[in-house]
Amino acid sequence: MVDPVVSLQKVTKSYSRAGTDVSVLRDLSFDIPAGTFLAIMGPSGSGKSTLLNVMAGIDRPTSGSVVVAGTRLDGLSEGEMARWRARHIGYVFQTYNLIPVLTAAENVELPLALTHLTRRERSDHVRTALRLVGLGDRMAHYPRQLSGGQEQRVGVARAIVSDPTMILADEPTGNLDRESADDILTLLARLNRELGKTIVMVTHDPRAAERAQMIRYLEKGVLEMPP
Amino acid sequence: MTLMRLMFRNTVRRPVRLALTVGGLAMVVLAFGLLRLTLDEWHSGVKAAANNRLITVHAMSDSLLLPLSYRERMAVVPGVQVVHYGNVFGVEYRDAKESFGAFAEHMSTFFETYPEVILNEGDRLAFLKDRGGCLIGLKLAARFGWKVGDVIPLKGTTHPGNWDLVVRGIFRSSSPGIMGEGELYVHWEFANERLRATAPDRVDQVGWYVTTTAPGVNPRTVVAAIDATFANSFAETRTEREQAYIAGWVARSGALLDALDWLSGVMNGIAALVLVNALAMAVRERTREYGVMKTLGFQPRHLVALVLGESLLVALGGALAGLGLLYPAARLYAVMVAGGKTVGAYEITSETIGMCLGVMGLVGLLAALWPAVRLSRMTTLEGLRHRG
Repeated sequence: MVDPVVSLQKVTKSYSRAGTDVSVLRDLSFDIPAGTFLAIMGPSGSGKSTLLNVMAGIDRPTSGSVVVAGTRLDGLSEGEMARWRARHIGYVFQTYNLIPVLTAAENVELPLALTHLTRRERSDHVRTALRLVGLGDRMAHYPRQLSGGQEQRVGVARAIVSDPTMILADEPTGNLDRESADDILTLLARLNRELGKTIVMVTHDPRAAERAQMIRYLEKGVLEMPP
Repeated sequence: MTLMRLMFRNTVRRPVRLALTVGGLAMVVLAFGLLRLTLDEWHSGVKAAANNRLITVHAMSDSLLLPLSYRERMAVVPGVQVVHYGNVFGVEYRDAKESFGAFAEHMSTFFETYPEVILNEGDRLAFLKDRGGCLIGLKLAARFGWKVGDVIPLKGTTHPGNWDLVVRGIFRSSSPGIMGEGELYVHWEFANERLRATAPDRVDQVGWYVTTTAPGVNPRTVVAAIDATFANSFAETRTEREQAYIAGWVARSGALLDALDWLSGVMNGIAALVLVNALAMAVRERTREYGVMKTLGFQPRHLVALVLGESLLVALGGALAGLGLLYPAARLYAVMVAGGKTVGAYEITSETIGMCLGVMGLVGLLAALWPAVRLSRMTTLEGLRHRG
């Protein structure tokens, strides 16, 4: 039995909106074994992104415990959480979220600014990550000079450059055409298969979810097995 | 290095906004610098005053005259080395706008009393020989294009009549706060002679005495002795050390100087607001990027450093641009604003430069405060959810 890299116990999350409590996650308990490529599906508003944010330490559960990469997150301060995230989480956004004034290489290098690597080591890491996503020849290009698919590949390179424990991807193909989406999914599958990266991907696209090893459905804050 | 690059590129990200902000700050620095120059000019005389020079004027008012006969009585006061005297010599050139500081001085003691005057020996002797000649400062000569040998037709105001004076020398000053290069000097005796015909009631009277004290003498005892000599006379005297006398003049303009000081503060407030506005806009636009950076693991202090660095860079840009404008503006200012009446040096000192840079540094820090506080309080999720 592989040790779980993520372990959620009785996690609930609710927001107060206009004086009314809205439950987003309801009593969720599940484990994700290391090396898994998990897709979480569900309709809009089902709590997929909230669940991902809770696992990334970006959002805090209302109750329950979240243990990721051996660390219980609910007791950490904002600063401790940021430090932990820098070490363990690579995050891929739906809208890429590259810094427009930095080149592809500089965007990928950004998380390495928090490490003690030398300039040369950082440069080596960046080159490796960009080659891995097939953009070794686009290092000096700015985001505005790249296509959507290429921007997302830079986003993936940024997520893996610091060799995090797991990669969390929030609708990584949501803004891409079919072909670019396939490229990104192939890339994520390769990272999982060849580098053993644990990947949790939130998507509402069944074709994207099919590329994962495991699919879970989130419906009104409750996690369900596939039908 | 990546963060430094990011800070720099964020700064130049919106070139038009940056240019307008830096331009606005530069204007504030320019105005602030000119105000400081004015204030420095006011105080320069106090700083440059000689320790051994005493000024004696009428006790009731500086504008009242003292009899020339006091000269002999002052000369015998213990500790007095030289007694010099002079009057205001009010004149204008072609019209009232072309007036300047002019003085009638007793030339036998003038150069000894004011070693600040720098003049070549030939011109000095030529001037001393010609009672109808005049000495002019380098800036005054440059203002009207006068040179040695020119005859200057002047119209008297305090000394009625037309005065055709021959320029016998152009002097420089080692201390413009005391001896301005925008001034003109004539022989007191010549001016006094002409008064016999035009204003006989003012003949043989002087506006001030300047005495120098002998080395080793305490000027305070001489001050007291001079005033005691003329106590209970029809024209009592008020004697002060030169520094105190000039400081008194400055103090009488205290309200104006205080207003200028306040104005300086207001200008820096405006600069801070200009910068706060630009920074707040920039930070608001980039809130999502800061959220992304927090997701990547950056701490609030990293984001605060980015904003602070950007603020200081813009403020420094404004300070440098403003100082760049201040040099030509100061030259123009000396001519246009001072109008040659009491033309001073209006020189940009290292103190003024330091003050402009220091104040802009402070403005940069203050301007970054609010955006920095906002960023450090923002959660990662708030940043990511921001719609700019």
